[in-house]
Amino acid sequence: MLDGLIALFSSPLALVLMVVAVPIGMVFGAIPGLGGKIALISVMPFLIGLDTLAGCVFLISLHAVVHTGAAAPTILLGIPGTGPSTAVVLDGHSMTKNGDGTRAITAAAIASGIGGVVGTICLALIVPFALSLMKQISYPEIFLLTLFGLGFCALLSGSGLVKGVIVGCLGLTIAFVGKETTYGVERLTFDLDVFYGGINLVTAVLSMFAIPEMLRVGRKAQISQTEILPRADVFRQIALGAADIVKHRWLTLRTSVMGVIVGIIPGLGGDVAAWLCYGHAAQSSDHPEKFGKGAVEGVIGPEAANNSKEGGSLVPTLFLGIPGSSGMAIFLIALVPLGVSPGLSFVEQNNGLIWAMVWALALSNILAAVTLVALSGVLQRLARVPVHLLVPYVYLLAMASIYIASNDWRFFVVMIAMSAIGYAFLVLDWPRAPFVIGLILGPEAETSLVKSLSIWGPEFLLRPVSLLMIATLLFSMHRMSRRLMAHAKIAKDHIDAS
Amino acid sequence: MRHSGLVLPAILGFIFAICLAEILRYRWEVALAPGLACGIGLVLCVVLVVQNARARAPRPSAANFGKGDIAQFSWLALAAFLVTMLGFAIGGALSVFVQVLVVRQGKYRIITAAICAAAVPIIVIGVFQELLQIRLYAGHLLR
Repeated sequence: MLDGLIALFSSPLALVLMVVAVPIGMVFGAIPGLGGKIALISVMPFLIGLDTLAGCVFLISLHAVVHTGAAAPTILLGIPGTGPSTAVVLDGHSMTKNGDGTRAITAAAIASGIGGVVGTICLALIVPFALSLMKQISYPEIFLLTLFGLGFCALLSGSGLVKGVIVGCLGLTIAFVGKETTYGVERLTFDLDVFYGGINLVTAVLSMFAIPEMLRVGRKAQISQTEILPRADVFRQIALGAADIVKHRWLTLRTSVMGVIVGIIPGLGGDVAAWLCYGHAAQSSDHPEKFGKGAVEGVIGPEAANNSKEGGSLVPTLFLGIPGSSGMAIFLIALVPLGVSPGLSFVEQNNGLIWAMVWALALSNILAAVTLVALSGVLQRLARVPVHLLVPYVYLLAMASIYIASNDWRFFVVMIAMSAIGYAFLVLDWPRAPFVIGLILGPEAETSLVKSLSIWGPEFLLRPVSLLMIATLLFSMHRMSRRLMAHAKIAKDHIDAS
Repeated sequence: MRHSGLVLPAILGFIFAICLAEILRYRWEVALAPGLACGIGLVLCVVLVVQNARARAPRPSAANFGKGDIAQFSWLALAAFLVTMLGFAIGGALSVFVQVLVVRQGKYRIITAAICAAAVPIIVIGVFQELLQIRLYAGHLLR
């Protein structure tokens, strides 16, 4: 554990990049329409040739603090900086309208910091046990885990199970394009040599996420007209915000732990964590009638969960190479230029690096919380940046990433075709997260399925461990979906009432 | 907006069907996983199309495809075309210049567009080429 801290502090480049990543990540969170995925995608071209430790620390710090930065526009301007921030906007912005904006920002920053640290502690506690536990997992279990990761994602993506599964199947199909590794057969290439190497992840993910978002931002180009708030009574409000966290310490801890659990389950994401904890905060509050009108618990719960989720989602991502969320899927892709391929063998061989990442996660969260309180004035100005002027740059950065990953200009054509599908998904409210989960899990699912069939035959599904896993996972999916629906109903009732 | 509920699953179903037809030519070990993915996808697309087609009243939809979407997509296509033909430094700068010029309103839009465009070759040459030693695509016409 201390090896990681020593490794982190003995690399000046890693430390500098961690400090640099925090404001960059916060800015990406603070500008509505960007967010963690676009942040990772934007820095990807600059990672090539970077030292592995420094690059990993940079990426993890960048991604960890996005939600902390997103609190500024969400609370001060009522514009959610990221998707999960929508759970904060109601009470956070109501507090601003009540004259408690800085108080809400402080509470959000401290809750985010605590959430991030709790997430890191949980990750640190899991690391020693996870390694030996993961060694017990064989091909059938990996296959079932990948299937259920996809199933969870489709189930909870909010647009209907059928649509979620269709999108997941599309992701899987795209993952199978190119040369099959065991028999060397070229699949789904339609005799086009551009597809012989497969459709790389960078092209697929950028086309499905970054470009459709920019198409939408470009269409709805507008600059926030909200006035910049005066910095009156700042210190008094900061003290009140800190006191709110002390008063609601158990809620902060509970929602932090809930965030970690949501993060560990592959396929769930920040939206689920944030709304689950908003519902829990409303349900457990002594004054549920205040929700939607400026209840600080409505800020603390989702903010703590947003950041703690990152620690949890690193468990399946680093140990199994199975991304805990769509953001983690892009994180996995961003690790490729650094020569990092997460999985059990990676963790075994790079224990120091893993611990360095754990420490970076904790430190960057603390740094981000302090920065948010100190720079709340600057961040609210950044939220007024006309995002539509950034659109052409994001297109160029996306194309640069695609060209670096493929070294073939024809992938620009693939990008346009896939962007059309991605944009249709976005406009028609189809979920996109199952696509990227399917894309990442496809090769892993296929390898484990074929090897399971070769070793055990179809009976691999009847092995006691497999049966136990199927029963456990089905039960937990059922419970989780029921609980989520209940919490979502409570949250919706409060929104409707307000 | 009834069509929007039919067109997307129909297109996806078509993609799955083509892929499934292609997969049938392979040995089972190679065809199993993609066959399952495409098969399940195709069946569900058919289910969705039939469900939407049978719906008596048009379902409410967030879809509002129109000229705005086509315009946005044209910017992306223009950027890709210019980069393909003239490379990142010149084609990219040109695409940024044109897009900012059209999108930006106000007195100083030509100057703003020129400054925004000038940043592109500086990044492509200064950061990518000199600092990171990465040569980005030079373009079909300039190679």
